[in-house]
Amino acid sequence: MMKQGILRNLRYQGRNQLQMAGLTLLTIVLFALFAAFTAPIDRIGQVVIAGFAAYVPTACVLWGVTPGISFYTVIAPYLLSMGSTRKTVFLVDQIYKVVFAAFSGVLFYIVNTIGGEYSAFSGFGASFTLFALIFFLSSMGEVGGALSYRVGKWGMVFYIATLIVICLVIGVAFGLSAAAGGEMARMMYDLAAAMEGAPVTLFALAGIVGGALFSGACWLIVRRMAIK
Amino acid sequence: MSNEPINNIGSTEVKGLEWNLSGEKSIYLQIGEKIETEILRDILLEEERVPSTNELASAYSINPATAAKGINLLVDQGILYKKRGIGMFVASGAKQQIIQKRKGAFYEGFILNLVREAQSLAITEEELVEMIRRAREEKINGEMPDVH
Amino acid sequence: MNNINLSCEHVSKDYSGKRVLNDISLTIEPGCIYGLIGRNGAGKTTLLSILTAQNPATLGTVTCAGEPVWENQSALDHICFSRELNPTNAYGNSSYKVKEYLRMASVYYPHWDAAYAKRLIDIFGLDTKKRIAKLSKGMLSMVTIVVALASRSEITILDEPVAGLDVVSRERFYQLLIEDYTETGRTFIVSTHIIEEAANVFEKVIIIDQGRLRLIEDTAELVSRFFAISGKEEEVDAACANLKVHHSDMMGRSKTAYVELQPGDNIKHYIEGRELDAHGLSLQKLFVAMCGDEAPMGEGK
Repeated sequence: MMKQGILRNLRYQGRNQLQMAGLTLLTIVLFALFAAFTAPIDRIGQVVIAGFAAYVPTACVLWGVTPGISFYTVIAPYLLSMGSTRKTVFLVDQIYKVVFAAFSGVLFYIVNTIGGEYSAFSGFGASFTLFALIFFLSSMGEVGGALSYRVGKWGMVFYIATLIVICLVIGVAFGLSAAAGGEMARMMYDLAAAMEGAPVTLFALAGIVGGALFSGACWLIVRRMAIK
Repeated sequence: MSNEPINNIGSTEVKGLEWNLSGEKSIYLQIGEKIETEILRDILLEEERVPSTNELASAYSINPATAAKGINLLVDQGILYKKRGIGMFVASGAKQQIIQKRKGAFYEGFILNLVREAQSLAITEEELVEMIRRAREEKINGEMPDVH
Repeated sequence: MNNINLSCEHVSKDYSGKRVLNDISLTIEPGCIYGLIGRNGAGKTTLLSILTAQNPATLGTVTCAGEPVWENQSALDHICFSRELNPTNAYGNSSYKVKEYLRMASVYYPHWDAAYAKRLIDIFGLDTKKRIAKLSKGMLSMVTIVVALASRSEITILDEPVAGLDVVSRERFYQLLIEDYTETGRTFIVSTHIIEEAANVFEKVIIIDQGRLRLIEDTAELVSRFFAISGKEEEVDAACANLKVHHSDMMGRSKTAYVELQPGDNIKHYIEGRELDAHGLSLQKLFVAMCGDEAPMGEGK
């Protein structure tokens, strides 16, 4: 029964996901503690809270995105070798991917709200953007893993190379326009201001669409995957 | 001319029983013969239960279907009979039946080979009879013909 | 006890333009122990992968209990394919511990019998806290055996389960297999290179040769059809005139021919009145005679 298959995967993959969520929280706490110990005493609260803008996304990427790259190279083959269908493994993987991205967004929202005026970001817009970012990066990473399993090491290499090239291009464009226009810091604040309060931002939408496209590509690779 | 396989790597000893796995004789026939021999040797008595096919399969690491084939052959010949729900039993008169059967097969199985071999060695009939007489005298056990 | 069958029709598989499996059709009857034998590279593992939907066939269909297996969870729930665990897989699968692997199995095999698994682990003396990458070849085999047996799946397939096991462990495996079979009547397919030991356990035998199905037959009947006829060369040739000769050896004037009879035929017809010896062949010997003359297909499966 397909339903049994889905439940099985929800149960098994869910355990992994819970571990990742736990590790994310732990990492954030560790970052915060580190900042607390290294910050000047009189501004400890300010520095630590402002830092969350970096801790939360970093931890979420670390535990939400990076393990996802190896899902189709390590975990999925085992699950498929034990008789699970590709459909159910993929479907449950997608469900948890969205859930984890949502978890990241919610976490960010909570942290920012508690931090109040010291937080670099605030409001629904920033959280939604983080959700979109995590979703996008996870989807991108998964395709790399799937390609590498299906096509071999060179698939992964080619894929990463392509991504690096794209990042460089964007980075150079960004950097040039920053140099031409004004200070980098000013740009970041403008960015933050632009994101605040806007119900749906362009970045977030682009991230979600991009993520969905990558997910579709992932299915195309996985649907006839052979276990080695 | 020999019945031995070209190399002996195929034989293994399983729980004291030597199976000739080179295919000289099917395993199911060997199972049947083993049970017959045990009946002759009073290891299995008439009206006593014989091991089930599953027990035989487990004991000798063979497929139960093979064990069943061997047992069924004996059932068809009336040497064993089935008691529903309980198992297989040795029929009365089985011992005599087996002796008769083997006597009948004695000619094909032993005599023909003996004569053929003797002929290829140019042993005369007198020499052959003399050898048989000598062998019978050397036999210490009088009662039971030695069965293998 | 079990009426789930597994069959394939006209299955072929191509890898980079090369046809590694060619038009294979067969039916696995329920409640039988099958042996699958073939040389390295003959296509055994590929065939098993395709039968269990772990590898898509290029052509042909595979059905289980009347339904196609591909991406069909209810069909796949009847099957367990316990393959050789490869510790040298890439990307950190070395981090899996045996007990984690077994936990995965307990979730994914609907008929998993945890008590039986525990008993088997004790019998084999497995340390479940060890990581898969650190296991010896023998222990890897034992893990695949535990998973296969404890899965209690109606159709259980083991790919080279005794590779790496010493003779005592191998005997133990055959024992366990027979015990399980007599208790459950499951269907088993066991592929192996160690033919003669396992021959008594197989009710039927499947022979794959160079990507083709050579035969699928009752073991005892198959073995009864093969003979080695030996004697003087001319006599042997005359006797074998109407027989299928798979292989022959010469030594001086003496020749041995390895022949196959048709079902129902009798060897006596061929050697009567001639100065010839004929004796039966073991499963291993007949397999070598049948498939031994081509160059090996190379390492790996």
